[in-house]
Amino acid sequence: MFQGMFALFHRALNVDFRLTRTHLFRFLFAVMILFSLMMAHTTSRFMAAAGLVFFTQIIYLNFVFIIMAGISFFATAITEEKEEQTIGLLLMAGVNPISLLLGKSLPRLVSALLLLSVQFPFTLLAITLGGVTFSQVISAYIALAVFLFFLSNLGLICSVVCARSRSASTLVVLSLAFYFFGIPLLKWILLVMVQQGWISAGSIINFYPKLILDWLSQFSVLSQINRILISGFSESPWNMQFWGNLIMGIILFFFACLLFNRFALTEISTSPGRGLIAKKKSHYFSPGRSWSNALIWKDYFFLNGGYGMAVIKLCCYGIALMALCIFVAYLSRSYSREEFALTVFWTMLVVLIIEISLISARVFHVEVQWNTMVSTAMLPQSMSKTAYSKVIGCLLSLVPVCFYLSIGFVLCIDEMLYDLGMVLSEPGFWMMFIEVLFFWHLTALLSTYIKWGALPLAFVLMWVGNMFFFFSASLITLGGGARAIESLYIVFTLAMFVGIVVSHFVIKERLIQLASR
Amino acid sequence: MSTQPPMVEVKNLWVRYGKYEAVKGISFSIPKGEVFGFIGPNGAGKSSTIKVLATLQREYQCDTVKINGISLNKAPHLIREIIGYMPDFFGVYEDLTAREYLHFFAAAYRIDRKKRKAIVNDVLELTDLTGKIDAPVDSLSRGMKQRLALARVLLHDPDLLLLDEPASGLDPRARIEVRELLVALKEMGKTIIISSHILHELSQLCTSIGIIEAGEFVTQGSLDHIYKRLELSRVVHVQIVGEMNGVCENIEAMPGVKSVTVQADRLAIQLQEDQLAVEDLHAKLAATGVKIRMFQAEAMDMETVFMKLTEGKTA
Ligand SMILES: Nc1ncnc2c1ncn2[C@@H]1O[C@H](COP(=O)(O)OP(=O)(O)O)[C@@H](O)[C@H]1O
Ligand SMILES: [Mg+2]
Repeated sequence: MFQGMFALFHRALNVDFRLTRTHLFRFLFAVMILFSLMMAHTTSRFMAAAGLVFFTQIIYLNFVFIIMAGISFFATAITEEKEEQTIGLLLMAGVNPISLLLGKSLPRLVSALLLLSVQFPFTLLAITLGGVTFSQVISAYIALAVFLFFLSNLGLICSVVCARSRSASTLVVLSLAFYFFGIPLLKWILLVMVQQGWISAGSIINFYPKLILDWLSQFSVLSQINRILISGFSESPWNMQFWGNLIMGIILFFFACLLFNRFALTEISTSPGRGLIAKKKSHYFSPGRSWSNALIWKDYFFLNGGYGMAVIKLCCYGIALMALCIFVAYLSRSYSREEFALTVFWTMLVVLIIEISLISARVFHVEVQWNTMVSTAMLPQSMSKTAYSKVIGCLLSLVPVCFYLSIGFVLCIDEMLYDLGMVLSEPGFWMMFIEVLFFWHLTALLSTYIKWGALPLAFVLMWVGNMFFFFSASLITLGGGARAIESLYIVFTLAMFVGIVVSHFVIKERLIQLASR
Repeated sequence: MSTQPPMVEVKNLWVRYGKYEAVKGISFSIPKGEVFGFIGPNGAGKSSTIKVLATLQREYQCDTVKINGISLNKAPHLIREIIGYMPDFFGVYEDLTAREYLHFFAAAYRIDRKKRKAIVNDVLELTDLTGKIDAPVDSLSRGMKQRLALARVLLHDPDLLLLDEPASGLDPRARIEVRELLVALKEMGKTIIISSHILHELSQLCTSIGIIEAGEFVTQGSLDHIYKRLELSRVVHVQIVGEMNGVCENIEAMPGVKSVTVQADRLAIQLQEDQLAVEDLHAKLAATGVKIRMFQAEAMDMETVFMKLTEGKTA
């Protein structure tokens, strides 16, 4: 019965091994650990618990990696087959659903666990650096491993339910957001309601939800890690978090099996989907006639939803901002204009950065994915014009965010201008600014090379780059002081600027190359 | 000879992927208004050659590649205006409807806003897709997608069409539809280069063909020319009633007969056609007094030609 599973398993590991991407990931990971180690080593001369610092870094690094893996690696286990339309073939070949699910998810789990276990000997070094006990190391790894198990099954069920990798990843993100933020938020709301006297502390409405929420929050790997990393931790690793994650993982797998037949074979089209436009036949939102720059028009309406999406974003962001402002006002018990303005501004700035990141991961990737580069390249215009038109079309979808952003800015314009004046002369600010720009370019470039995961990979690369930078900065400044670090900022900023300029050319060449495939 | 330059002129074209030589120095020239069939098994280098002509392949070596007298690497933009290229594998932006798709490309080709609608309607009519104008592209069948891609290629009214296996993966009906469309285009005076790995697909359509294998032309020229070259030796099947004694020897002794082999119920006679025509063989046989029940010259269909010409030495 499990022959099919072994076949899949074997293939997956083979493919995995041949992909340079996996090696790149492993290499990056090793580099990061080495850096943390070197940093810990250099700082151990002036710090008592250097081992703990190093260990904390490693554990959080792992945590971020696991989350990334969940979003990209695990959530695509089944959708990958769906998108390639091979799932029907696999089923017809007599692979039963359970072994199919195992065969697709186990290799991923195994390679992730491998990545986790190879670091184990290094982290033992943390003990020798001081500040960490063996039982802390063990507990932390067990907590992470079982979380990984849970996450792989969460990813699995999402990829069973969703038709596309993108929606599966989104679902994983939403579930994780609920897991890490939703539960504390609900607890807080419950608490407020009790404090306000809307519900009495002893009533059933308070009691059972509170019990369940308390119980759920014990499963959280984050709070478990935080508990472990406090020096003097000496509990058993086999606690609620362990059993909770394990059992939830198993339950999720079970549900994935149950739901498989219902969702696996639903006919999906091999296209990116029209999304909003298809449903909205209303002619207010219809793309209408093509603009004079057709590429801008197409990318705005069909990649980014056009007017309809703009209206939806405008409403959603508005409502979310309103809720946030009320929340902030409630917390601080004051209602000042500046506070509102700042809340709106900073929230929207974060949203802007996220939206642009998503755009940069998609703008060229969609053409590559759906093999449309050939026809686009045949247009009688240069590839650079094509590429920039596409980018502009995507950037148009930022109008709603920019609208709120400018409202936030205008509402506290004096303060903003003052802050801006201060910050503009800081090399650190420019470095951050350029770094974000560089990150977007890097994502766009990577997205023309790899099938998925350009965004996380770019993120990790930036992380490594920063670690490298701060490590070398800390080494140099040991002798040179503040002047040295400032010039280092400038050098680094210039280097990234050059990188951005170069990336424009590289992306263009890459697109031309893709068109001739 | 006319003073007009040929539509396509290729001399000594090489395409290499790394060390691998996909196209090994081919040359051809296609006058205006001709339909050139580019035929060869999979992996022969058809797509690579067509990609060069479509200005998409940048790594190649040649003595000349000219389209309409313009050197290829000089002005790719000018050339793109006069060619329509339909690749062998391509995606259509499936999130658009057929109308949006065509309007998009019409705008991208900078066709005047006022003329767009008429042109889109024209090409839709030509490709028989008028009924599907508001259907999302991903709801179209494969044949329709292929025709939509053709419609897209025709939008800017190119003089030269480069069609890379336009009929691959289509059912017989869709194939015929595509072929009819191509005949219509040919009548409109367009120069067409069409590639295929199936020969008879092109035989009624092309004015000349080139058979390519492993990056080299096996033969090239008008259809008649190629038929002639191959039909020199032809097999005739004959069934004879009654006594067979000595008949074989008799026939073999005739001038122009290469060999006679006895098969289950018939004789297979191989002829040198330039020395002995099929009808003369019949007359001579009848003259010997044998009773002929069946006399059938083996039809020289394109598949056979193809199999004869190519030796299966492809990747
Ligand atoms: N981008 C490429 N990289 C490497 N090899 C290629 C590439 N494109 C085609 N080839 C190789 O070149 C040969 C010719 O391919 P192609 O021109 O597509 O043949 P055809 O269209 O006649 O089937 C094939 O063997 C193919 O494997
Ligand atoms: Mg081909």
